[in-house]
Amino acid sequence: METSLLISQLFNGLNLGLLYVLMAMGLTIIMGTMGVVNFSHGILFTFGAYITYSIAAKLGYWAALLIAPVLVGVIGMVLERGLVQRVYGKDPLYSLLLTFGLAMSLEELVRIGWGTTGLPFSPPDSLNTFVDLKIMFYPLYRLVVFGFILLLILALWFFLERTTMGKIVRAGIQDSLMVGILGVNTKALFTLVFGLGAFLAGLAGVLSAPITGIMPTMGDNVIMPSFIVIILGGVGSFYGSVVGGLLLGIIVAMCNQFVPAVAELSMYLVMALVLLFRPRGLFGEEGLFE
Amino acid sequence: MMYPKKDLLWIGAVAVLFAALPLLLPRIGSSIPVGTEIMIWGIFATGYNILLGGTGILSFGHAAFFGLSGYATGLLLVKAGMPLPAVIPLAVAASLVAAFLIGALIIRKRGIYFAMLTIAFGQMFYFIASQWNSLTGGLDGLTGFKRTDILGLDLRPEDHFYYFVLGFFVLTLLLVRGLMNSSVGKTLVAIRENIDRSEFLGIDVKKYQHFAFVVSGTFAGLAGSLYVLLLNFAFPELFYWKTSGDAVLMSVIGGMHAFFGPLLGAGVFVFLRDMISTLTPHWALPLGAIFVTFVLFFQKGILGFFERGKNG
Repeated sequence: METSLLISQLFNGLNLGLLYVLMAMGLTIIMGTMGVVNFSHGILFTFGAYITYSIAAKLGYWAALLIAPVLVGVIGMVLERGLVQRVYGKDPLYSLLLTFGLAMSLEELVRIGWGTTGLPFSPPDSLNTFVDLKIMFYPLYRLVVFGFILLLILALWFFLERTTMGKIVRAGIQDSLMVGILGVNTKALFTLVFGLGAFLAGLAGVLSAPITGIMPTMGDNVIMPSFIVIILGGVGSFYGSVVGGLLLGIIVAMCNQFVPAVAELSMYLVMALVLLFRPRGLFGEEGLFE
Repeated sequence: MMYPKKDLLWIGAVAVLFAALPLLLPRIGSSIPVGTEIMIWGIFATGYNILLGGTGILSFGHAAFFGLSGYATGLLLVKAGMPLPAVIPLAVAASLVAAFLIGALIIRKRGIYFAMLTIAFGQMFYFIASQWNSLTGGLDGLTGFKRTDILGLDLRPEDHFYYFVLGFFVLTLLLVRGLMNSSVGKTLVAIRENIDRSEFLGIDVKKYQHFAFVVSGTFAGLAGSLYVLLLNFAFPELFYWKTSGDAVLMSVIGGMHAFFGPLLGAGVFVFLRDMISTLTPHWALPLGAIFVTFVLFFQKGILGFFERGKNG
């Protein structure tokens, strides 16, 4: 087995894993705070990619990178205020079905707006090249994405751990009722959390567009791995999302290279194994969702 | 099994209605297979609702059992060349076993965590079906079989198969109603209403929940087998999480706390999808919007909306 091949797959795995982390973090804070399994998370990812496509055609990729995730975050907040908010406090069944129906409609909207076939999309010219890492050549764009997401995760960690607002969000994940009783405007908090989750999903879409291309069903391909990341890491856990996401990314990338037949399946096997030995996931806390 | 007279009358009425439906369907611009499909989804949703409405457990992965039995049906016909009277029971048994094993692994989880696990396990089957090309035909699906005859009855014509499914359909209604009327069914409802109190009463809650999971998975299997025979085709989407979601939606739209709710939901769902898809290729847009409206404004479903306060 060639070392360079192994290392380049490891890089691909970390790349994929970091995208899963972005998706899973959004899902997990929404799930933790509002108790909503957000099935529309995949379509928000898709929106991120398509909005990037349209903006990049006019203003270039860098403008799209700034604008598209914010737009998706705003779309998320509008959906939360208009629809999702109405089913808080009800059986999780209803929020699940609501976002399920929503995803169904929105995916069709994407097909109507941008067509049913996939669209090609390449990295900006300045990044569309390979870097010589001595042992191998690796796409510059992927390296940049890698660093960018790492910085973003650090920023998110800083926000959640070191700022008052972040502490309120974390407290909300623990017990949103109590946070409300302590005088926090939970209505605004919930909208913010949903918007933040949507922003992260949109950003993941923007970043993966040049890697995977753009198609209406692209959200489907990432939402299931994101669910698994959450199961692996434990619901509501920041570290769980990071570790689970990276682990899953590496496993999928390695299987893709060496045993492609089981690449998708491997995720589920890992999940089943973790469940057998760590029923709450790697970082799951006692009491949440049991 | 015990049936109050009212139950038998209602099930009898539904049976008569469906027996007459093939005469009506072509006249309203629909077709007999649409009726067959309504009954098949009716079997799926009515059985599924033992778990959702009956026991209060949300599974988003029952497509796993629907698809497993569907593929088993196709494979036993194509690869083993077995006759139908053996194929259907074997295929349904495969779903039963799978539901038992998966249930054993995850039944201890609660709420959304449980729902997510069911999705993930369902998807596992989806990937097996879509990637094991040599066995399942991969993404193109499994073809090369046709339903033939069973015990001298020719199932090839649409209407013959319709009445064949009608038999299973009525049987399902009787079995599920009988189960829910029995002491086991009452125990399931007790668990739905108050898990802690049920436990205090000495009920082995997990055992009953597991039982409901397996029974509902088995009915999903029966529906899957019949569905594949209807289409003469098995394809990976049978396993897809969206298929599971359809079954949940049917139960909720019709009314998951009324016995005929899921069936009504199946009828509305199949009929609407069929109707809207003839009008526009973008049927998913209005259909999704209709679901959203239901979830927001008619949470008790159609039957729940009309008979408030009653329990099914």
